[in-house]
Amino acid sequence: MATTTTETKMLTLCTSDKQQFQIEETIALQAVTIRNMVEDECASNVIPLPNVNSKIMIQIIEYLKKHVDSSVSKEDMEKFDSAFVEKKLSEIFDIILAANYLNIKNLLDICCQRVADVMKNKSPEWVRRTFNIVNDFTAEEEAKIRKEHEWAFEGVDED
Amino acid sequence: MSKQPKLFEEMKLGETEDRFSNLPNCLIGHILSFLPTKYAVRTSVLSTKWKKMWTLISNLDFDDQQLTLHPPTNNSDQCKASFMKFVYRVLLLLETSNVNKFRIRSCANFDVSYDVNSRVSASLSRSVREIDLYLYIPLKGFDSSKRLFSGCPKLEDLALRGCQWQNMSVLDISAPALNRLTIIDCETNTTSYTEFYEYRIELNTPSLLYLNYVDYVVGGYAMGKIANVHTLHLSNESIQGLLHCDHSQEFVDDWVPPNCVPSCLVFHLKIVDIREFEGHEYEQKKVKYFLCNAKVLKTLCIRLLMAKEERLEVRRKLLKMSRGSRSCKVVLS
Repeated sequence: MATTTTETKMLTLCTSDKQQFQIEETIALQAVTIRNMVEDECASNVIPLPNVNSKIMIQIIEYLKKHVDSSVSKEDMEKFDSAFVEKKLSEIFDIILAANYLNIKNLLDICCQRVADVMKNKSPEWVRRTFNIVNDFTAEEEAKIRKEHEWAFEGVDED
Repeated sequence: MSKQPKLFEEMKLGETEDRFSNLPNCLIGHILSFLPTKYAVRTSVLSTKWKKMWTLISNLDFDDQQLTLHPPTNNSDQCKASFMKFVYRVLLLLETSNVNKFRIRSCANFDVSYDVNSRVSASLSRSVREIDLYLYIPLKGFDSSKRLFSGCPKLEDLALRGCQWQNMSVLDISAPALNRLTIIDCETNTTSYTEFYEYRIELNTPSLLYLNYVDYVVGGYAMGKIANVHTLHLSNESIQGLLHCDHSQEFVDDWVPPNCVPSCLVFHLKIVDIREFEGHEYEQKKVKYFLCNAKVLKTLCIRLLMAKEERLEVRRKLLKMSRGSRSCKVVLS
């Protein structure tokens, strides 16, 4: 892909499924991993991101575009963030992995907060069902752990 | 892919794969750090992989208020004991040496402070940035407060609410990075009046910007002296945030201005918020002193606590006082 010669410097991001995204450098540099790659001077300005697929990249770019805009008020940014994480949990997990790899702290945090909010005060049974976690404890082992941290199991919400 | 949605949340996940457990451990620890510690520990029972996952959390948030949601009124002592045991175990088992936030809210007032305190010190000291203690747990002695806070080089935000110091004559807060400090309703549990009168607060917090102090003024710790303490102990004199001061103490009925005007007051103080102003002569003296000497003061808020007829007179007096800062607004409510 040809590089543009306009005054805004562009970067090309290449995802795991070989899709290329051309975005303004200032937007991309919010990802610390990309910033480091640019600073360490990877010769070409095509940044390979083998750990992120295009489907997730589109969402991450949407996030970065919003967050680069300094005219957005704190309140509006929070609104954007809370709407942004209204996604399927599987997508949230994809974004968590991508945000961790790209090192975008706030994005990682809002997605982790979203997962935490889902499980808050829920019973272990509910959490297992929701996240497909298979219980491989014996009944005795489970009872023992519950007893060890007795207080943690008090006051569970109804499923 | 089988699609047979049963639960709403399952539909949301839309698959049968266990994505959560397959995350790298550090990310699971990060997610669990967003939960009150109670819920983080609850995940220990999910599966064998999860048994110790919660020990990777970097925020500690204990709140026994949650007990009151399901009030077991008869055995509340037992609940408190169970809560304290929980706190203690968590601190004991924690893997991370990187605790960022430590928050504890408890109305348990029996003395387990020594254990908790030493555990807290051990697990927090080097990394903690934020401490919020809302306790009715007596904390022992001068040493413990000193140890608790001075061993925290990264501590930026410290809130002490309802902390009862036991036989402590000095609350010594030494934290080089501290920029926000809140002290509300903390008292020393001394037996004699003299000891109470001698209780002082010493701040060694050069980075402090925000001080919220809502408490009795003890040991001659009058308004002027708070400012004085800042000049004596705050090396870069950078107080410019809020100074809330509740000086509704009964036994200080006169106030003598400090010998020299604290430079933080002159050059840095921008917002002052005085709560519970009863209109006494000494209170007016202090306000006058503030207004006159604070050269960059932007706002002085005073909440008047008095009868209507008196109010008018006090308002008039306050508004007439000369101001050292031209742009200073006085808000009376």
